[in-house]
Amino acid sequence: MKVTDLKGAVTAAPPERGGEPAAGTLADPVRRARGPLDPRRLARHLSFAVGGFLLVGWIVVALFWPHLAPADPMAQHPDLRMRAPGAGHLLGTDQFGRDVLSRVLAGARPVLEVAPLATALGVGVGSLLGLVCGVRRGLFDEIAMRVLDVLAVFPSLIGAVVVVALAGRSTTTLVLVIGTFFVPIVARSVRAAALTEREKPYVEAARLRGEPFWSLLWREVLPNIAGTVLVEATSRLGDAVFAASTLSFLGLGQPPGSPEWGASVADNRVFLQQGWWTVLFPALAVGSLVVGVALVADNLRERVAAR
Amino acid sequence: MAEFSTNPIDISVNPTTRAPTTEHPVRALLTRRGLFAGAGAGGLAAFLAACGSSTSDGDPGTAATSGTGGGKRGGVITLGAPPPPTALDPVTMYDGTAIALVQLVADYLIWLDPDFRLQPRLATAWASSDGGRTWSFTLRKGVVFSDGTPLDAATVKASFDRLLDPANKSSALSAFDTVLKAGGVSASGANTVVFRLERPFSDFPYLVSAGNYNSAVLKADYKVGTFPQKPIGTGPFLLTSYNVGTGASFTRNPKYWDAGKPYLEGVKVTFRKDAQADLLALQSGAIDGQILSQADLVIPLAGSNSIAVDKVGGTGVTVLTLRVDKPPFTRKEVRQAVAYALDRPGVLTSVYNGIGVLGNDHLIAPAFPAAPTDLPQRAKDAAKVTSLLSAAGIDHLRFTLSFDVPNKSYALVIQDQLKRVGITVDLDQQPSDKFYGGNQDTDTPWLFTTANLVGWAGRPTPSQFIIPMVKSHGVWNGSKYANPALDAAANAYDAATDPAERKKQAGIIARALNEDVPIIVNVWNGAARAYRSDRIKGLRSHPSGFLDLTTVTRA
Repeated sequence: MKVTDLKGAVTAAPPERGGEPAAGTLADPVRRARGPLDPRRLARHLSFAVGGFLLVGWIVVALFWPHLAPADPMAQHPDLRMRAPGAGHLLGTDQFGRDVLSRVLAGARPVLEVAPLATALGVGVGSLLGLVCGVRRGLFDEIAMRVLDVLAVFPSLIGAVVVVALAGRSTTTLVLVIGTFFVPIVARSVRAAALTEREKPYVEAARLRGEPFWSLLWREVLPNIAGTVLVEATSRLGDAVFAASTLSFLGLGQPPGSPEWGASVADNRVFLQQGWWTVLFPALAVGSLVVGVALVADNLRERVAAR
Repeated sequence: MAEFSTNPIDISVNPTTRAPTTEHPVRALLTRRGLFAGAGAGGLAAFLAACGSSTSDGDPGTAATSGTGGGKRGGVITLGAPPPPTALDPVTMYDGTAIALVQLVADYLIWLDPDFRLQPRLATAWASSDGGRTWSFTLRKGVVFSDGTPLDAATVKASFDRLLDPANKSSALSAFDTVLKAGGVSASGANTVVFRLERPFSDFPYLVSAGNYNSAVLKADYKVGTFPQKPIGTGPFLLTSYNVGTGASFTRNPKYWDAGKPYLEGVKVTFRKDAQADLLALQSGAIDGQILSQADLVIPLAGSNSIAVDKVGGTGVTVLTLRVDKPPFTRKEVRQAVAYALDRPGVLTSVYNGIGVLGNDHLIAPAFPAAPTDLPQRAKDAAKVTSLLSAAGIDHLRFTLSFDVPNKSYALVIQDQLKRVGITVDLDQQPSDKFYGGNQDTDTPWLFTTANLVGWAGRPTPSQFIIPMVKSHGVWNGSKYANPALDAAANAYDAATDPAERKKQAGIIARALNEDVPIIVNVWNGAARAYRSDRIKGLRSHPSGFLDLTTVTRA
């Protein structure tokens, strides 16, 4: 059913009084909260489609680059140094005669190894902390939040640089460092959502039923704040991509010679005037992945907010 | 970003290891006997004739620097440079920017020109006696410091005593190692300084020249670390302002000993950490020239935007050092296998932009007059690699290569080349301060890792490489190589005055190193310096990054 408002805009008809509300509407919060987000509706948004395409595309590249790359991304060819983009090398070659296209494709893997793992760490630990603090409150909540406050105000990039410099660079170190700096951000968001939920009747009802604390968290509260967690995860994934590339750009990420995008930009930026393509394409790769993740995150955030 | 070495062993900043040249050095035509006999300064300066020729791209008229080169007297020029990572102090400095700035203010007994020829400055003549163990330098008369204090022999003695005092931690100590010790300098009258050496050393004038860049002559009461506050010297300019973050300003020294020079009224130096930013400043005209240019960046720009690039040959080298006392390099065959696995022309192209000359795993650079000519050039030989490793009982050679950031490209090329013959190289990149830090006697990475890359800036004599790097127990002997025959030949080389004898001893040294391979020398490189030919005349490059603006003018 359609109705026309005073300005002539066509809007969805409100549910009929006393009738069965449509699934996924405000009239059915619990069912809507527990139901999966409808990807078909999200896909209607062009930005989501573009974001999804970029994200999935790079994931596919990260997984299958050995089959996609036209050349060995590490193989040097002194006679092919600094060739401009053209037929032989679509994106040109770098200072060692390495194929830039192959390096851009191969560079997706280190980024997409670090970023999801760091995001999983940060969102996992942060969500757990936020959930416990928000539902339990009390002294534990106060202490945990103050500790996280201290961690949150510490400049994350500087902190990451210091830690990586001290611990040495490795994928594990990067994941731990980036993930750790996500914990306070995620924990605060999840705690805020949990604080809202804990006051709701269904939580009180569960308490009165004598449901154990952890069961209360997992079975009652968590499903109702899943949207918040999902939004945090996608937002942090974009941040993680950027953080991993930034650390590599600073020489603290991947080992020397890695095709990782941030490292490639750093290695080639001194040749910007002689070979712009050696910098532009890795930079575009970072940008496209970050934008793709951001577009997806924005759409999810809007959806959750609308709920 | 341009990466300029802060390697404490560099005789200058590392542009020599990063700014190579295609010019094959012209062999010395004049004998060393003239130097040893200590005749007139002209003959002495010809000691090393034309070690490397110089060319200038984009400004052919600047290859010669006589007079003002047709430029205008007066005016101020602006040069760009990276900020100095070390203190602006003549005694302790070891980075290219600090050295260049000090050289505008303080002078040396002898200058070392871009072709490694000795040029009289504060000393007008020098002579040896006692079989080369005693050297006397006659000082130029009428020289005064910028505060009016006259230069005399006692002042020069005080300057060298300061360098020889270990408490002052001067980089010059390494150059004097086994040659000159504290107490070896004396004043003979007001105008003669006498150096009594530990052993005969026919190249000694180089050690008191700009080639040993800390040997700038300072006032007797100079206190180490006070140069920015009291920049008093006998050089062509006066330091009027200095900010480690932004730059420095200089004005002409009216008391400079060489009447009429310098031609410029002043010099401004602006610091930029990023080489690309410095290059853009040059292209836009914000600066008129660069003090330390990165050859692979500036050479492609020669001829555009009135940018000229002066290139000069040299003896800078990045050495691949292999620990002969640690597995897997305890066996000579393994070290030789690595040497035969390398594609030297590929290194020359990939690392040095094709500018430089091939090395042959010894330290007598082609630029040195005594360089051997009968030693076959080592080339890549994959079959030989296999047979050598097989003889050593190694199926698959794998080792870790340590290096600091400036040598990253070199390390990547080596890794790629060795991979092609089945040798696996794990890269261990370290920050420069860590790589050259630590205890120099027990654990510093550049002297104690199994295999490493170390950039050595150009030296005017082979002994300055050989003594510290490969003589038994040399202070910077990272390979721990010990060969009494080489030690004896090195000593004989230093003491010899006859060119034939020196060449013979150099041959012994070269063959020993080539056979035993404690070090691998792929390429000898030079330097480049970029400037605006529409703004400057007479600016030249220098193998060691040195800066002489006495004859530079505005265009």
